[in-house]
Amino acid sequence: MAFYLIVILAMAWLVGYPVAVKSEPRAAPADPCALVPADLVALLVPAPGKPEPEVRNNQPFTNRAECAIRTDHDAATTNASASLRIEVERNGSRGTESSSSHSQTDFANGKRYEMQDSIVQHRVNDLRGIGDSAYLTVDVPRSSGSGSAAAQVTVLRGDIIATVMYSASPSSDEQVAAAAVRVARELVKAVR
Amino acid sequence: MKSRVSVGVMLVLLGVVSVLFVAGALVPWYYSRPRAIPDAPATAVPELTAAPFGSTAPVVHPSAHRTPSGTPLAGAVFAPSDEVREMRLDGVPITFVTPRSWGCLSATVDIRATAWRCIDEQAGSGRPQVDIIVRQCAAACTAAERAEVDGELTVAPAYTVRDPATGIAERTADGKYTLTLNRVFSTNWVLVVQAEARSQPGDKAVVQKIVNDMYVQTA
Repeated sequence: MAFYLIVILAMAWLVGYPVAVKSEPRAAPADPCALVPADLVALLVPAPGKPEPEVRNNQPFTNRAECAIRTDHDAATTNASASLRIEVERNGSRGTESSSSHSQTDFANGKRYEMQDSIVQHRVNDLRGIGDSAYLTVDVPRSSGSGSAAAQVTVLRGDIIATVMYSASPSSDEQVAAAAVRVARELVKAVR
Repeated sequence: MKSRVSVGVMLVLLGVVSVLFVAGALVPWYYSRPRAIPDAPATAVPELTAAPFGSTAPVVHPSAHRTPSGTPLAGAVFAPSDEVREMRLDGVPITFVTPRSWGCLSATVDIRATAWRCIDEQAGSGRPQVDIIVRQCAAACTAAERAEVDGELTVAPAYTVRDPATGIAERTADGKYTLTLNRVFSTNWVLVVQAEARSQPGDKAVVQKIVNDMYVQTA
């Protein structure tokens, strides 16, 4: 009887133990800003300067790409200015975690941090219909009187974590949130 | 009796082994599972329908500083050996120079115009100053629009007309020298400058140099 019991437990252990298959992260896009339609960039960033993409591929666990488009104040014709910054992370497996588990864990940790950060307080809200999960972050209280506003949208989709940071002046929380969400939707649609 | 004890020990050992197996099965599962995503209140963000900006205003980029040449407006001009700094002020479409010890602060006027006051920051009371008001007219600036800017000045000027676009007024009263310039440039801009010097002997020449430079920049 004892023999059979040991065999059953051993099988249960083997079934329960995840097979640690090493999976390299997929390549991050060379320029995430190029994935946003040009007409949308033109709408959001007046007198856009040259994008500054930076990509780090061939990493063991996470490949990253980031870019920023900012108003070129020397070329601006009005006092409207904005900054659009995009980060895309593609995760591979990590230990016994699969690529998507790795991404979900990092996404969850990041969101938990945003919700609990007591130094810079944020208003964090879930967003429906973008990726597998997404949330919007707005500073609370934002600097009043300056006329500027900033919002961040973070999206989880499979092995991808995409972050869109958008700030604009003169603008409002509602306007920058709508802009960041729109960029996030376009980005998630475009990243393959 | 001995056999029953052995069976008991065996069962206890089997139990311990079973617990270890179960724990061994759970540990990797525990560490490999994705962390739960915390919930936050949901929000519905409205669709973006227009550029996300409030009311905007045009910005004015100052032109590059030009080397002075020709006949000065009044008195002294900067020499190449003078140590100067370029002033590029928001809303002022020209770049002019002042001595390095000067600085400018934004000011307000009652009309729709941009105003600055520049002073010698290293001088004490009675320091020289230059008030600058610029206004962009809807079309070519009219005499009425020019006069309206003059109304914002501390000292009412009695201009001598140099040319249709330029009026200049110099006055010395109670030991204070005042030099005022009213000038239309680029068709739809009017620049009014009122410089004051009162205490130091060299101050009069300094404010003349600044106003002369601004005159050249609006040529």
